[in-house]
Amino acid sequence: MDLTVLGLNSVWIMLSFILVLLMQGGFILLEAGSTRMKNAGHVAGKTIFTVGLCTLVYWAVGYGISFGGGGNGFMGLDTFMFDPGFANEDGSTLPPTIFFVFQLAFAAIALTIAWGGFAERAKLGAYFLFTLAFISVIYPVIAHWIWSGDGWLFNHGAQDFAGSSVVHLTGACAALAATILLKPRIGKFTNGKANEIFGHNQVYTALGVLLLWVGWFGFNAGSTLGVGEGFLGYVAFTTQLGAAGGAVAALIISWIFMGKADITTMLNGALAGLVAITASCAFVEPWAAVVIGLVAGILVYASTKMFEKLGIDDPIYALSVHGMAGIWGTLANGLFATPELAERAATGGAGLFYGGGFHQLGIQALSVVSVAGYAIVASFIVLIIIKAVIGLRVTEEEEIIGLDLSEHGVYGYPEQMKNASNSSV
Amino acid sequence: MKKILENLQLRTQKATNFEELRPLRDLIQIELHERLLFSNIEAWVGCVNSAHDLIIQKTVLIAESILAATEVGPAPSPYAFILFGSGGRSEQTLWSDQDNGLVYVTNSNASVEVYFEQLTKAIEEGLKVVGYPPCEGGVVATNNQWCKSMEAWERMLEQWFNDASWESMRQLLIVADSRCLYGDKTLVDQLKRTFDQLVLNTQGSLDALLKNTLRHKVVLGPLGNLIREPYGEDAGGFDIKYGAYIPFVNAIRLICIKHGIQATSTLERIDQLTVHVGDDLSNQWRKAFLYILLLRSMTGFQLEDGYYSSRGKLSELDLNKDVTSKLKDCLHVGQQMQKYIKKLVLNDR
Repeated sequence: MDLTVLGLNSVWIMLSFILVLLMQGGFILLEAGSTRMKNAGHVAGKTIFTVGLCTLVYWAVGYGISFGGGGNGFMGLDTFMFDPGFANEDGSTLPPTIFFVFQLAFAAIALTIAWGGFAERAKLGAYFLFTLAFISVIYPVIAHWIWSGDGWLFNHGAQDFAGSSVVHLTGACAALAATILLKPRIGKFTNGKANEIFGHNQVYTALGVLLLWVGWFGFNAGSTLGVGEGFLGYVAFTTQLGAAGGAVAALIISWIFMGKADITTMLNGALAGLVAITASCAFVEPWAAVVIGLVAGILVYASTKMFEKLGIDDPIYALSVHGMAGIWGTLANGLFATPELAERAATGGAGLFYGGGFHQLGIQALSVVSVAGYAIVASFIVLIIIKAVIGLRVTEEEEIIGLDLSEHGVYGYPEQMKNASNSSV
Repeated sequence: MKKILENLQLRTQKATNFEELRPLRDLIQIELHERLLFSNIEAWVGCVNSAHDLIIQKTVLIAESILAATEVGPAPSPYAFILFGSGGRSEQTLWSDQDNGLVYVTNSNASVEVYFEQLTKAIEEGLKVVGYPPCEGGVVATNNQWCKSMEAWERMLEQWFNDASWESMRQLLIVADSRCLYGDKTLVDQLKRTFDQLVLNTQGSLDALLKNTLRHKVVLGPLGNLIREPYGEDAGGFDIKYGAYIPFVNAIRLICIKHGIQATSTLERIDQLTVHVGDDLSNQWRKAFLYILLLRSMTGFQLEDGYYSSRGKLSELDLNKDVTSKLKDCLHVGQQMQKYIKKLVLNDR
């Protein structure tokens, strides 16, 4: 192995890992900003805690199931308690340690997306137990299907470059199961009509989105797993176009239908554009990246309204941003993948609009159905067990006083609370 | 409806205290609400406002007589009890609150001011008992900003015109809808003449009034789509008050100020504008406004703490295909009207 190439690959993927890990900061700001201040400390703290727990579980079990051997299309069966040693002994283009941490960061992102369905009312214990299950037998199984050379969807030619379905749809499906079982937050619906529960800091939310957007260059461009001929630049390029399309389309659509340019919708649009382009960033032409982003921006608005109509509480829009846009992004690959880029990735083929017929689109649809089906069913089973054993939701009183106090005994904004109690004296 | 009014008139005349007026207020609520869908909206609004006028006039009269029977005595000066807002425009719904004020001839001595302070307090208490909540924004005669001698009123108007701040313009637009409900009507006429004179003599006044007038935009999407309430109890409904009615009222009012028309009812204003804007436009405005008045009267109301109130939102259930289509046409007319006044004021510069 050429040491220069190995070194460059290592630096780039290590940097990508750092960027993807920093996306957790984006999620903290996004979730804290989109929810009420009485839960802010909890949101931040539980994110860091679950990233820690996720690391241990992924190292012990999850990585082996995702990328372990055994020739099994469903799940890997070795490489548990991963111990790669110091050196790059097998002569691969990337040290396994770096590959591990990079993949770990993806697992943590999927987990954090799932927390969107838990927001503002789940017990801390539920986060703990769900992390154990999600990182050992839910996310890694799906990652194996699509990203492992043994995976059955991989071998059918499924194309998901950086995880529109593997990471985002999986996380969103877990969030869906959680939010259905937890039921809506107190006050979200009255007589079947949705009320707006405002987040406490829109600047946090916007900064969260920006941090995620920046981190996405590690997420997508890092998924090249090497510097190669600089193809990572092209991936970053389409990623940026997709995000831009999402932000612009969502703002316009909110202006058309709400009469105001809604900031939350626009932020969701940017994220939806990023989620949607994730599967296709290495497969499509620039114009298609823009179209994928634009459609995602429109879709996220419609989807938000749909979930509200269905009486499903989606506190930080995980179902729309990661779920619906994840589905769209995965399917879009079957429409817009070009033959040259598909050949380069050497997994599937060209999309419908590039002479591939319905073949690739069908495989992408199969991916969506399989991923969503497995993630929802598995998450439901796990959450029902957790519900039976320790319960999922805090009490009504605890929810009203907020999770900062009920779960941790301190407020995220202690001085603010002190001022409030002084002024009421 | 004529019979309801005649009956109300008789029973109002007989009432000797505020408590006896309260059942009459409830009666109009029930009887007129029932007749809304079977009536001509213009006649219905006229009837509702005549009924409110009768009860409020009687409330003032009773308050006056209560004071007269004490050591305070009778009014020391001629005065006019004024309605502002929807009352001033004779466009009250069955649940409107009360924006009111008072003007008296002179405050030659301190006791005059004290008398009107006591009178307005008694009127407000009476209106509360009868079922009319005071305006939450403080546009009420008990607020001394809205209860003054003629001289003080004129001074205040002049200050507001010269100040030209956003808040002053808001107050002036409130005054533009003033209507004498009880007392010496010539005092209100004089106020209006002063107002018109100040419009003419104060450079840039229309410009400043325009900014405030356009505060509430007609709520129609860029593709001509109806913008519905996204959240809350009224989700799927339409804010007929602030999305349609108020923008129409504001636009017509400003055009009338520009042309020196003193009528306060929006329909009357539109009629008097015909000579300036032509039959076609005034007919279009009239039709659209009548339909908006109808929809505004259809909004749900509730009785809270003894007061009738409404959020001014048309329910999703009322927005069938036909209503939505007609409403969109009206909103389009409203948008054109807002463009028209912009142009009108711009040409005036």
